Amino acid sequence: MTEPVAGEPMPQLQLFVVGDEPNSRRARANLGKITAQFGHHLDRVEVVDVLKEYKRALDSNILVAPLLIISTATTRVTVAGDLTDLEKVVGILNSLMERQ
Amino acid sequence: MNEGKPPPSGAADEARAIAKVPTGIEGVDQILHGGLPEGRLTLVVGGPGTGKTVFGLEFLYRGALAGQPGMFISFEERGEAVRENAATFGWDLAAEEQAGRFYLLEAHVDPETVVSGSFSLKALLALVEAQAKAMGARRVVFDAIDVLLRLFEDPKRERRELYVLNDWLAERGMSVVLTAKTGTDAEALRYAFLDYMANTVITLDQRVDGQRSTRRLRVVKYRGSGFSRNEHPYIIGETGLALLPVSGVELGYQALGPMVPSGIEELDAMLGGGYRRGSAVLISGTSGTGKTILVASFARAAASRGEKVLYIDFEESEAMLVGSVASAGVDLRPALEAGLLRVQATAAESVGVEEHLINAHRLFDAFAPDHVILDAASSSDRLGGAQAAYAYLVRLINLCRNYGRTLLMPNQLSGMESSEAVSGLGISSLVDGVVFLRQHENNGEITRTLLVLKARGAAHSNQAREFRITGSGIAILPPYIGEAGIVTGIARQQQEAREAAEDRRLVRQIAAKEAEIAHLDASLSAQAAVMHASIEQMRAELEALRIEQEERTRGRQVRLGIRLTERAGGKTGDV
Repeated sequence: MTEPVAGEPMPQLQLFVVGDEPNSRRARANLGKITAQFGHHLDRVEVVDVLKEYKRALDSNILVAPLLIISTATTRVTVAGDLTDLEKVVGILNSLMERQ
Repeated sequence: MNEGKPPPSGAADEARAIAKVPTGIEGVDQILHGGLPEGRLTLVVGGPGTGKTVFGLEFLYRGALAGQPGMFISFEERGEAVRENAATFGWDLAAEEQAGRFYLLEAHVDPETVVSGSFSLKALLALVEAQAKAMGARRVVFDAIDVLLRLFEDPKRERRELYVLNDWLAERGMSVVLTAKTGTDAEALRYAFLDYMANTVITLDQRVDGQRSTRRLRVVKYRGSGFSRNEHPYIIGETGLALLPVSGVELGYQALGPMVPSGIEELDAMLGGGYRRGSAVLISGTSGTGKTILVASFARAAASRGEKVLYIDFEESEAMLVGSVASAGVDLRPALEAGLLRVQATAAESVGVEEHLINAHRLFDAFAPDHVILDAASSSDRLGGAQAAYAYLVRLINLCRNYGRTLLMPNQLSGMESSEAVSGLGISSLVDGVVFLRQHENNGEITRTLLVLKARGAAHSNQAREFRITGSGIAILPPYIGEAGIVTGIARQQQEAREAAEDRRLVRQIAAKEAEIAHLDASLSAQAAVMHASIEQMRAELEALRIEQEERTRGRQVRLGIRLTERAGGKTGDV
């Protein structure tokens, strides 16, 4: 794990879920683990419930759920699923931060 | 594929059948017996370029125009591409979007998407539900659903998601069209289960016949409804998808109608009264035999009775046609001006068979002609080979027959065909009538004859008749059968002169003979009178001789009696 360089923009996380259905619930929990691990290296972490904010989901072209969008100023990576495979997400975050 | 049950076909069954939403796509509702199943799932499958997207989009666009809002979810094409596609058909999607009757969701699946754990289509369904509710949409199209399904990387999961989708749609009563590519065998196999899941399955197919590609649409199954099981040719035309009912069986052929005058009185007599309405008649002949003039005469006569004629001309423009027959005294202008004659001049090779047929079909609908002329059947060869020509003619014949429209088809023979070949197209058994025009050269002069080879349902003449193209149309001459068969032209005149001379000679000879007989007769009478006189004289002389003979006999007896008396009276010494 690389230490972030201070002053550089940090990744934003947006997790789209569908209410309280099982996959979405697991995804929320897994997102919690990720934020706990990366904490101060993340710019913003947001959970969007498609059932409540469908317009935002429409704008972001959300077709499957749960869906995590990891974005920086120059890159956008989408991760579909309940994030059970935490290592994948961690790997993505690390590589993004290395590029910063 | 229809659960082993025959589809309901009777009127009562149809009435009991499920509710339907019309697609509004030309010809499609006809073969679906009303439209797609309302509140159910319809699967449209086909290879690339078969028009699946157009089908889905048109279903929504026509619905929107009819006041039924719809959503289009595009998984493959960019929204811009979809809008451009629609614009080429003259569909104003923007207007429908602004009016809240059309919504385009560009559901672009990021191919870089990383998968981590399980997910579902619930987000999509939530979006669709919310948006549909907001605009009151009951029609939804998922275009290229297979692109989205690839995200699951597992056929089993794909299948599960689709079943979820199906149930979800059924619960909400939405009429859904799902399109999927089945270009390869692997794809076809992968999505074969969709066929079972969907209530209705339509396949679109594109193949190459000869030099041209043809497209076919087929309804594979339709739960709870009757439908046409045939393959139907369709085109992606100027205003969208258009489909043509190919077989007349489903519509039922109409029986041949009453006699329709041909526009030439003598020809009517030869045809046994005229052409039968709704019949297909081939006017066959080599170049310059007057085929076009013959059919133009028919068009003019029909229009003068107030009947409408559609003239499909593969040979020349309207102006050329009008001009060429005018020189033969057939003026088509009044019929054109009255709107009773419409000339559709088009190059045979300009578009494919399907487009030609659909254009004809549209004209049939818009113009509702009583009669149709195709000039010329032989030009259909230029549609892309003999097979295409055959397909076109068979379908045009059926199309006319179904609606009871008379179809006259001038057909140019190359002159190379055998004498039995009347069409050179293999369609002579399909037509109801054949009028055969021939030209003969005799003593350096061309003469023309007309023969009715076939006229179904009529007692037609079997005699070839000479005709002339005069300044006032076609004139059929009275039948002339001479000693040496049918003779025409100068030969005919010479023959007639010879015959007349012969007649005159005979008359003279007969008169002479009669005179001779009369003379002999008279002479006989005279001679008889003379002989009678002689006989009478002879008889008289004979009588005189007999009287003389009697007197002489009597005299002798008298003298004998005197002598006997003298002896018996005493003369002794003297005896």
